[in-house]
Amino acid sequence: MITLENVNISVAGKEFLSEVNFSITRGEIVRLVGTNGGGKSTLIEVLLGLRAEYDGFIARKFIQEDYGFLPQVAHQFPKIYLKFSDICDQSYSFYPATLFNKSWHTSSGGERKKALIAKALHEAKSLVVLDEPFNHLDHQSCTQVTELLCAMAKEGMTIIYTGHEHTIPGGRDIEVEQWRS
Amino acid sequence: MEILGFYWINILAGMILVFALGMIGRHLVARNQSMEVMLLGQEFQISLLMAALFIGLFETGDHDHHSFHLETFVSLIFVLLYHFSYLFFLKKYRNFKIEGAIVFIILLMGFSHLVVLMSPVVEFHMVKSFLGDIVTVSQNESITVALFSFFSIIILKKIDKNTELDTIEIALFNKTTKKRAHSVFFSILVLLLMLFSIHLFGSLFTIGAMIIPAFISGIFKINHQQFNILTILNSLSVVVAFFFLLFADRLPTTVVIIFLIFMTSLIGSMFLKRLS
Repeated sequence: MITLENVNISVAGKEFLSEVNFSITRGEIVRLVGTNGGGKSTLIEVLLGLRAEYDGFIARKFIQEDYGFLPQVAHQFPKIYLKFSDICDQSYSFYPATLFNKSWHTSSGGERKKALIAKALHEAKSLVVLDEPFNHLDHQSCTQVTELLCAMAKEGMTIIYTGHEHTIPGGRDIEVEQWRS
Repeated sequence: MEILGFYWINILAGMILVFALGMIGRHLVARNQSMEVMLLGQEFQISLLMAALFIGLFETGDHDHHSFHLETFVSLIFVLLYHFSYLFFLKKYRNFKIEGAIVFIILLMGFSHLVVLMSPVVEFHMVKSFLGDIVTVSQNESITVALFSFFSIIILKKIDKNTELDTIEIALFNKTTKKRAHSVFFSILVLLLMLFSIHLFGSLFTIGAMIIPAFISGIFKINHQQFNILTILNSLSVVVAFFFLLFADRLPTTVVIIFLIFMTSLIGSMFLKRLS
């Protein structure tokens, strides 16, 4: 699905991650592990082709339409009125249709996170990339999201996520800090 | 009523333009690009001055159909030059986005003043590109703007789903989660629409029609469909402004339109919010 060979990633003109080498196959569940500021989110942006500051070889067997992506940080008060159905109108076990009419501005951090995860899952055709998906989620929702991701992986969906404590069974960890410059 | 018959093409062009600018403005405000709109306004003003200087238009004072296109084309080259400099700066210093835009605006304002001091004959173009005047726009220019605005609305509607997705993502994450091809169309539309609008109706009208409805509707938290209704109501401001001219022909039309857009957006948003 994705292969990185001798990839060097820069941030603000300075080398940040060096000699990154790994490969992720279709249907695999991969957790990117590392401390805060360790380069997980930066690596994700490079993987998806959203960041151009790198050299080396990256083979992506997917196109823009194939993946769904949940970035880590979302604004609390955007300058546009948003209902959850504007963000995603596909219900999941952790994101029931009863949430659709909720306003983004008046909802909790956990509810917002659910809507954004649902958006990423709904958009994904072969790859889901979730940056810190389990932050703000209650225990029940964490379990529901985990079960859903496992089921999707069994059907061939590739799952890449970052996280510190919660893990999805059957996956493998990639330690990002090993490549820190 | 005679005045409405005489200026019907100007009024129609203004109405379609207000609708198109409102639609685009909603996206730009949600994307935190209001300051960039201000900067573009300033860039277009100085570019029109430079274009007038460059092609020697100011010597004749005529504003015929041919010179309109030439001036538009030349000013677009200047705008791209200025704006790519800003985007180059932005690539390196994104966190100074607003301050960078302000510094660019100040420098361009100073530059405009210098150009006018050196060639006072272009002062007319400076005033025109700022205040504009819907009444003095020729029939050919009005038809061009009306057609371009109309096709812009059609294109915006065609790419509405993806543009809306981009807008939601930028509003939430400061960036998009995908590089969607249509965003290039959107940027080109914004540039061209602003160019035509500022050239003929001035930056006050253009920036006002883009930012005021989006700003007020954002405060009142009205939804997308309600905003479209508000934009239609705002486009009627152009007709109402011409009605005012019947009673006070010395009133500056552009300024009246801007005040009416403000009032319509305010009252309309309050009313629509109550309905929902």
